[in-house]
Amino acid sequence: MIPQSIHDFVKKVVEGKHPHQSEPIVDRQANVLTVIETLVSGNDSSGSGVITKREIKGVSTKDSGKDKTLIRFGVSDGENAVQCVAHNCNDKYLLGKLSPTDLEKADTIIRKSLAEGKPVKIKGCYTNFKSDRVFVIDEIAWEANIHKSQISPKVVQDFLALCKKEKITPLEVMLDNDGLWSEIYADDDLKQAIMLYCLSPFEKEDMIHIGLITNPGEGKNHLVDKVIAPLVRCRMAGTGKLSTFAAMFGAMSSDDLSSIELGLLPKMNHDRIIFSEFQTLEEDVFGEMLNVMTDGHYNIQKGKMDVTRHAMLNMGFFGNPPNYWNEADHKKEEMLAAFGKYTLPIISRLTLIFAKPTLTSGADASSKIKEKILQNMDKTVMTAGNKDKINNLRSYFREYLKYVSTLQPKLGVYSAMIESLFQDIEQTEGFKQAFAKRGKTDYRKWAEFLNLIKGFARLNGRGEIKISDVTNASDLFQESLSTLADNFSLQSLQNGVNYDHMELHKKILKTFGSASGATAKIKDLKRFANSMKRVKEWNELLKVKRPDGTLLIEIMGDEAFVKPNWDGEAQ
Amino acid sequence: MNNPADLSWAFIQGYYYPKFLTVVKQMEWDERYQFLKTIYNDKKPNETWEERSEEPIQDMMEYVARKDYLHFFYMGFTVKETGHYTVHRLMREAVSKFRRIR
Repeated sequence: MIPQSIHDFVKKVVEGKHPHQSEPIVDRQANVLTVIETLVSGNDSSGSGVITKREIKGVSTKDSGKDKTLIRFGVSDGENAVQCVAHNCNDKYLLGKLSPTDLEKADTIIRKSLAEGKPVKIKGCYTNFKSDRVFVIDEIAWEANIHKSQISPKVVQDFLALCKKEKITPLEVMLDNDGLWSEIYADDDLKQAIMLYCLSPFEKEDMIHIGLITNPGEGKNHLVDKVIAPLVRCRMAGTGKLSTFAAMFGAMSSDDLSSIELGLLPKMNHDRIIFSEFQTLEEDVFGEMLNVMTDGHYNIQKGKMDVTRHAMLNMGFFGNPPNYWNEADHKKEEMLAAFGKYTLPIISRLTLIFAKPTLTSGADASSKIKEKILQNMDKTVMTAGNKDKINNLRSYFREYLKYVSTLQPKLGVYSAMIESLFQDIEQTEGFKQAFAKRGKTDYRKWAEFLNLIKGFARLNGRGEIKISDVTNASDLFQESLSTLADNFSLQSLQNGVNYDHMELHKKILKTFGSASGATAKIKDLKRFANSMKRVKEWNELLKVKRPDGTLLIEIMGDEAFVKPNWDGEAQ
Repeated sequence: MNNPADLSWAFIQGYYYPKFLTVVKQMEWDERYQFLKTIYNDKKPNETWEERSEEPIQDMMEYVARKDYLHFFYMGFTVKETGHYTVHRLMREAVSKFRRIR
């Protein structure tokens, strides 16, 4: 239960009535909808977003005047886009003329925003230009840094002092079921992981990527709608064909190589993206994404252009087990088939991964979830008084999280202890199985572990580490590890066998034989694999050796004997 | 507390001990006896646990009652002055088991 004094404090800060907070907290999300709403009226309006493209036209007509410049550019808030024009032509050609100096200044901002994904603020009005309806800008300026917290260090200090007085930690306030988590029921480990995910990464080492693989209907999207999105800036990436390489990374127009659309990744620099049903992503998207997950940037080369885009963001991968999976008939390891052939590289890059059928545990979890759904249906959570309290908490913690994300707690005096703790974790069977197959250690996991410790210190508003941060990080890290290690063996994946192979093997047994094995003509088996579009997997299965050294598929003349009881293990 | 070794001991006691205690108390006494005896013997290879009566488990119970589990717990760790520490394999297994029995 959050003490009333904390609710009162939060309310004062949000309304700008706290001694150290004279301005109310405002929503600084980029938005061009206010501009679009004046499309027909042509009234003056303003909005903010990121420049997505830039085209230069030279104009020399009788109406425009000689040697004039017209810049067409797009401004997008991620959901809507506005086609804008800035120019220095005479009014007879197009209203809204800027001076040459102002136009040059505007172009500098446009170019920089395009290259770095920084948001801008535009003012102007819609007018007709040739056969287009365009927004002619009077002013363009940098939008206040949306990643800079609106609360001061003094406010945070007062908050920490109040928490201390109330004997509650800031993290406990954030995890309270009657606050940010009032509309959804979840276990503490998941709640902690989500709060860490809500920190903003400003260095590539700060990125925290999480994976969530659960049965359908476990509330993954609800988690985004009711907890993450109302709290921090977060976008959900579309599935498969909708999340193309161009949409994610940005693309160049072949007509104009100086125009590069801004992809979703750089648009969300220092924020978050969630990939739902990520297994449907195209291969090239996934391949490049793996780089972004570690480097926090990527390069696009086309024509004469070589552009670096910053995409330092936290990624969330939410998915379901494959559609054939059920708890009674399949091993838990098969849940991760959602990652397909990217399982190993993805697991390596995910700071935390929860691969379990249900997100909640405990005897009364089911009734608590049902109770929450019922409360949501009856709208009993977001009642008048409660709604204000929850919205205030969301506004306050949005700014609090921005502030604490900039803290850089040093591991310093704890380094020996942390190193030993990690060595202890590395020696657990689970860790060895999951991560340290290719070497004595996994340096990426080590870095991720340190980042978790720093993350807990940040969530508690501290610039220094405490033992409790190490304890929390270790418990959460091992809880996540246990969903990998206790639930399944990664041996098959380490050997390069993926679930397509296992599925084909299973279906062959089902179609041509039984659980005790199958004998069939090779050509029939190949035809069968072809009908499943698994010829490549069939050819690879022929080479698989079981742990006892014998071939999984024995060839006898024109027939093959497919052995049973294979769960992906290979020699 | 800025001494790295003291910090490590404080951490070990806060982090491992509750888990160790939960797991060890869930063990049947014959298993518990073997567990505690192994930790004891590995820590003191030159003066190993002596079975002094016909009822060694009963003796262990009495010893634990006198010395407390903390006595054995400390034997499961070696902490250097630098703050680096090592964990006895049984202690590691106990902590892993803790995650499964919760």
